[in-house]
Amino acid sequence: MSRSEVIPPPGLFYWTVHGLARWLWPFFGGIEVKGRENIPDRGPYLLLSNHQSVLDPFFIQTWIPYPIHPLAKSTQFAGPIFGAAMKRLYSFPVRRFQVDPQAVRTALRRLRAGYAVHVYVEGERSWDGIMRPPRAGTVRLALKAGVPIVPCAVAGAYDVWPRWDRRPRRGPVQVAFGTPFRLPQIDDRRRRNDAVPEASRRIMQEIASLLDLPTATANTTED
Amino acid sequence: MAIRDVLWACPICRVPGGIGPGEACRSCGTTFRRGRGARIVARTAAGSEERPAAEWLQRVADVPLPGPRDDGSILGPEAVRVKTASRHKPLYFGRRLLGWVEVFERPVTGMLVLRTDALHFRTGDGSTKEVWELAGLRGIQPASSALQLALPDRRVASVKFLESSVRLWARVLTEALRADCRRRGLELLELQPTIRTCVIT
Repeated sequence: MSRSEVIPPPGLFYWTVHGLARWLWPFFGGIEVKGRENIPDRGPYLLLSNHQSVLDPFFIQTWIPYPIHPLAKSTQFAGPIFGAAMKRLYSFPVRRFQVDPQAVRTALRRLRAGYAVHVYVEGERSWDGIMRPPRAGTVRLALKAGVPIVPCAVAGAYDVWPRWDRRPRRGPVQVAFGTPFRLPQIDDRRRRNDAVPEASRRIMQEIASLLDLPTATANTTED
Repeated sequence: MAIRDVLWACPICRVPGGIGPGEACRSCGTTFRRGRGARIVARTAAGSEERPAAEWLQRVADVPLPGPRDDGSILGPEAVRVKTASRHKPLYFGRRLLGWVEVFERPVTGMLVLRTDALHFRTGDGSTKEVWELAGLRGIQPASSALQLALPDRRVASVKFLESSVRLWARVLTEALRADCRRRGLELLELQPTIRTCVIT
């Protein structure tokens, strides 16, 4: 474990936010979790999930008994209060308008230090509840890191708070964690790029099959 | 974030950008609201129809996008609020560099026009005029209610549409960019995180 990447232990703020969904959502529609036994006892691993709602981080992280480090869009760190809160939740930023090597470096450093990193593979919330293919950058990260991958699916969160509405509603939510799997670790950039399509299919299938999520296909009309 | 952002064309009369403020179609008068869960209810004079967003989107999938008009414009003028970021600030966790964050300036309100070769933005008082050539764009990303553009001079612009659909603009801009690339002998490969093209052989 790299000593320079040792991160302060979580405080009261982290554990309060961590428990919110588990404590409160039973009053707002219920939350069902499957496959908790698939969550490793410790990192390093990559948790890869779909993204239906802004509430997904609460619904997912509440089941992981130690801090997990989510990749979040950089604009969420812009405000002083929200930005400070994001850092206390162990988030780290990625700039979406460019290839962001610092985000990759931070992710790899945290994995090498033994932590778990969470990435929403689609890169954004779904507009219509249908899961899109993973972003190539996420797949390249998975192929470069060579750590176990824990697939995770969220369902029902889109009905609770779709991207196009301003307010959440009550509703049941399901979260499922799948059996960890590995992708080959590929150091050569060209070979890694060649491996992206097959790895993308595998990741998407592993996530979608957990809760039978609808996925984008050739017949899906939206981009 | 609004229903008009997801339904970039009215699924009843099939007019692109038909749904405006108040979630009502400016063309056929249909009103839209959120129904059960994430379903969308369309209310017309003939009655109500409730469907998941994905089904409404299927209905508009083959709606033709607006093409160039006689004056060379494709879309707009449209009321927008634009904020730009020309620098990034480092973000630290303890002493360790965590990453970089865009520093946005104060937003300005104005009108945006998409032409075949560029996006033109100007404020109402004319104090700000910007032309962003399509050939110079480095990235396009639709957020929930804003279109985020990576500009040629390393700036980032976040364009919030006050009365129109962000996804309509993203689609039409993408097609305009594709056409612009072809005119320059290039094929558009990727939009995110950066625009990638290849030479047409």
